[in-house]
Amino acid sequence: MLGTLGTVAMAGAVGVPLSAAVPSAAVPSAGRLRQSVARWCYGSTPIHDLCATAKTVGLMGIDLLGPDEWSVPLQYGLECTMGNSWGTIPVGFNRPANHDKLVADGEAYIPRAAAAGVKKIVVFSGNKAGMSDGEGIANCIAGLKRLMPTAEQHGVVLCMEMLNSKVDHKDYHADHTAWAVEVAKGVNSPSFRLLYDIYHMQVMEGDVIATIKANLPYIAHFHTAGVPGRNEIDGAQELNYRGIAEYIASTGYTGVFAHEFIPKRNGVAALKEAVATCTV
Amino acid sequence: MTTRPTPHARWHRAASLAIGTLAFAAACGAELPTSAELQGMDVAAAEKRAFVAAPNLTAARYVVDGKDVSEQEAKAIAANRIATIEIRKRDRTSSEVRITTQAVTASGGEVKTVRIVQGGPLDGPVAEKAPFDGLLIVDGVKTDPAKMNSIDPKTIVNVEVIKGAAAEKVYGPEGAKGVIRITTRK
Repeated sequence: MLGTLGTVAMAGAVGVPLSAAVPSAAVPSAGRLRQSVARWCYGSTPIHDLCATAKTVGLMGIDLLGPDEWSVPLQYGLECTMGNSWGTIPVGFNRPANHDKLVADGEAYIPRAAAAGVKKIVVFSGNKAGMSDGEGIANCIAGLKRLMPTAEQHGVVLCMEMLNSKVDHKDYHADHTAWAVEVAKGVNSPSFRLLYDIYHMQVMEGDVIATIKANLPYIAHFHTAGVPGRNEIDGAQELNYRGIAEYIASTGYTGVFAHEFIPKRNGVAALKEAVATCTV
Repeated sequence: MTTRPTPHARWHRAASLAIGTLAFAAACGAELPTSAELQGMDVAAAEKRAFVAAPNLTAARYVVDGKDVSEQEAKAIAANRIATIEIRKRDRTSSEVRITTQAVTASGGEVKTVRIVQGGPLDGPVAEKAPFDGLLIVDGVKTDPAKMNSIDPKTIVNVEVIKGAAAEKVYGPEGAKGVIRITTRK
């Protein structure tokens, strides 16, 4: 892939810059959901600018940071609500051949995250590449179980994210809630939960509130984005985010609800609007 | 009454022109006038010398299938016989055009490879460029080329190349050889 780097658009083809002016009068969220924002959606915005804006619009954290940025949100009274994975999306726990490396790297990575105050780390199933669902589940359980003693010892929760395999991550294995719930049941540890991405699961299976209701004990984190398009969670897309947020809050959910959409318009305005929509 | 330039002023004009000529000639690798020659040179002579010193910038060596040929012969090759063209340039004056040919294919053939190598040796194989051995960062996590190769390019949202002091400031001594920082979507 190195050879193709030259063709990749430099500096933020997708990560929309936040507007320079940060509104000063925003009211922090007083709702029941603890809202955060995914860093990669503002890839070209310096982390300090993103943190300052997040604080202003009423978010409590920044999602999906790597070790090089883990400590920055703390300077703004924010949390890093989810650490990036030490592995990649296509190469995950569904293949025993990946286990030794993933486990060895994870053993080093998890304590570092814990020391930086990062309590959750996203992990991925990997791509199917012809593997059956049953085999993938069994392999994920076996691989992840090896990391549970370290994760439990450090109080870190590994969250497997369900992603759509139709639009964004072709051939990804954990592309349905039922599949990932089987992994969670098998791993059976307080240090393993699921990251339910509302956008990805709407693309794959819909029935969002009923699915959350049936599987909430296995879910420790949410992501948002509009469907279709993965942009603002406004009235121009098909999901009723206010209703979804209202339901999740009504369950007494104490985890994080992180916005992970790519703003088509002004980044700050989009975040303010999203926070307002989900302040329930 | 016209004022004739003093000998000093004439020497100054000649010298400034000659210095420009020297710089140009040095860049071209041409034979340079000596300082003694410069002393005795008037402006006209310096200009003439500059003209003479200017090399033929278009001269190139043409090699077809490993054999030296004339420019005319090289240019006479039908495009559909050409398999690869490699242009090697060391500086402004020395370049080499290497062409390999193939039998005419049913489809008419086409140029499959054009390489332009600048600064390499004219004789012998072109040295392979050293692989990047700086820091690879994917989503903030230090990684290795194998892991980087596993990324689906469609999920890349941002690529940054950080070099020099900026790289060392953020990544410490590890960043001294440069940093490639990739951000992917989840």
